[in-house]
Amino acid sequence: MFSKVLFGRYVPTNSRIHQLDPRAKLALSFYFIIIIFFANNWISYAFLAVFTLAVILGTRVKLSFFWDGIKPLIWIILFTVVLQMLFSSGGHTYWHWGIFTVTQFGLINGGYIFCRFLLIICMSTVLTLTTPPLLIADAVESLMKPLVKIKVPVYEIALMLSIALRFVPTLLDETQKIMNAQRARGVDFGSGSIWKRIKSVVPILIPLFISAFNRADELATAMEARGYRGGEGRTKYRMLKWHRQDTLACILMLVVTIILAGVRHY
Amino acid sequence: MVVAEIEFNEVGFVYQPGTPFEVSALRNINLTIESNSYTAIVGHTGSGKSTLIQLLDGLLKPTSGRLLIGQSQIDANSTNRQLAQLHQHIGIVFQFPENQLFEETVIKDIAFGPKNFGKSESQARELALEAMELVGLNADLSERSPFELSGGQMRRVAIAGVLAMQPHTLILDEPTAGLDPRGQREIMELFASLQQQQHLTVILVTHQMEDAAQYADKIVVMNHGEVVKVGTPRDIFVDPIWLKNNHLMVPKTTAFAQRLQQRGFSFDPFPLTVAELAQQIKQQLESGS
Repeated sequence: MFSKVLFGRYVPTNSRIHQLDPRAKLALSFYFIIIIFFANNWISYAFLAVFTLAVILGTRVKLSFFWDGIKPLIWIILFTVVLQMLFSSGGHTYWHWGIFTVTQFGLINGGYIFCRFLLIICMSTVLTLTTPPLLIADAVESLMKPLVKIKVPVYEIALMLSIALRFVPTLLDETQKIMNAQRARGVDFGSGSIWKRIKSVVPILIPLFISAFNRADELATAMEARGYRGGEGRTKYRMLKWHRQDTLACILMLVVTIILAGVRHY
Repeated sequence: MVVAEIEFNEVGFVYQPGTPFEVSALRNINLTIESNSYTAIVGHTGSGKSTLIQLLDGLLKPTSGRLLIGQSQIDANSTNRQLAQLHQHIGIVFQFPENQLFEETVIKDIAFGPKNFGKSESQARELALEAMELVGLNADLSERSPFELSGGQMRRVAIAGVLAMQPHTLILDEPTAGLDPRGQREIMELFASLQQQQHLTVILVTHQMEDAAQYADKIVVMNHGEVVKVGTPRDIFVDPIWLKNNHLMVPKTTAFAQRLQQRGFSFDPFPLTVAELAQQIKQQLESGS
């Protein structure tokens, strides 16, 4: 059942995009999300959509995975779009009732917001589907390194992030096991009143918390026993290497930006 | 008590069908487990043992074939309700079952199962106290927090929690993992006596060949999601080369007897337990051969 919840899951297909340096992927997807907000007409959105589609096809991951990424968020997207449609003013008014007005600009803005959401989700799904979580954590650490100078605890943040990511599958596994054990003892998770359903979570949460705390304790002991000392001078097992393809990807993104700037004025 | 025979009929199971993560865990399982028998399921990691026992308890549905458990039939189209009914009659002690404890007191935790199956507060308490006695827990402990107990005691509480539901079949997934040798022996003796006195059907999943040899009437050997051999402990353990090819160990007793045989002893029938081995060595030493 958890296979559906995990929308940020790594799918190894070893495509060109998988092989990119995680720092390049992380920085470029952030950059792309920012430039999405500079699109201001249908041509620019269409251009960005074509580009996103090309990237998605380039990952060689089945399209259904992207749909799985969008599905859990579809209600939030629709809610925002509807709000935008009902409360914007400007242009021709199609419908008016109390505080609600549907106007030309409202409809256009709603459409734009829908596109923005879709593009943002697709691009971030590209990142998580093509990059193992631990490499994303490494990339965050590496990109944040300059902040060490202004006393930001970068190494600690990166360690926390990688431990958290590392233990997501473990905790899901653990949850599944505990759920099985409690179902075998007659807990019915899927039915009954809301109150009953909330109560049925207690027999999962308590054992889960206990095992998580035990595990944290054991992890801390194991790290101390092996002399872990974070921070400056610590070498890495996974080395990030910047290749020519990463530079090419950056140049490609620059070209996309220039074209976008061009079509903005149409 | 309901007596039920368990029958697997061409059962197969595939995890996450239709995705790149598709894994076929079980294929063409045909197996009968008689009521009040003691069956051991052995096989190396990933051979499908865990999937098999989850199917037995209705935690998973077969993706092909069907299972007959007493009067009920379970197949790919079974409803959650049908599956839930299985939980009541089939108790399952998972690996490290103490991880499922959550209540404030021992007695509440043990009574949790019976209460879920519709027993009243007082009935559930009664059953819990009986179960505590069965597993050898002192009634003084009933109001203590389960988290204050020792590891061995916690395991007994968890086992009592399963027994309190009065299942007719008890599935044990490596019930002795992580216990000291004495605790292991006590727990195994407990299950053996439950099988005989309470007429339970016991299904034991284990890596300990000694336990399988000593307690089981029948051993099911699994490999790569298929049942490769079913037989009495003697059938299974006489052929060390076959065992090795299926990634299984020989019980220590049998291995020891085999080495003795190389030095001139001869055993017939081949000893499986320490008691049998000791008896035969004694005989041979006394007769001076």
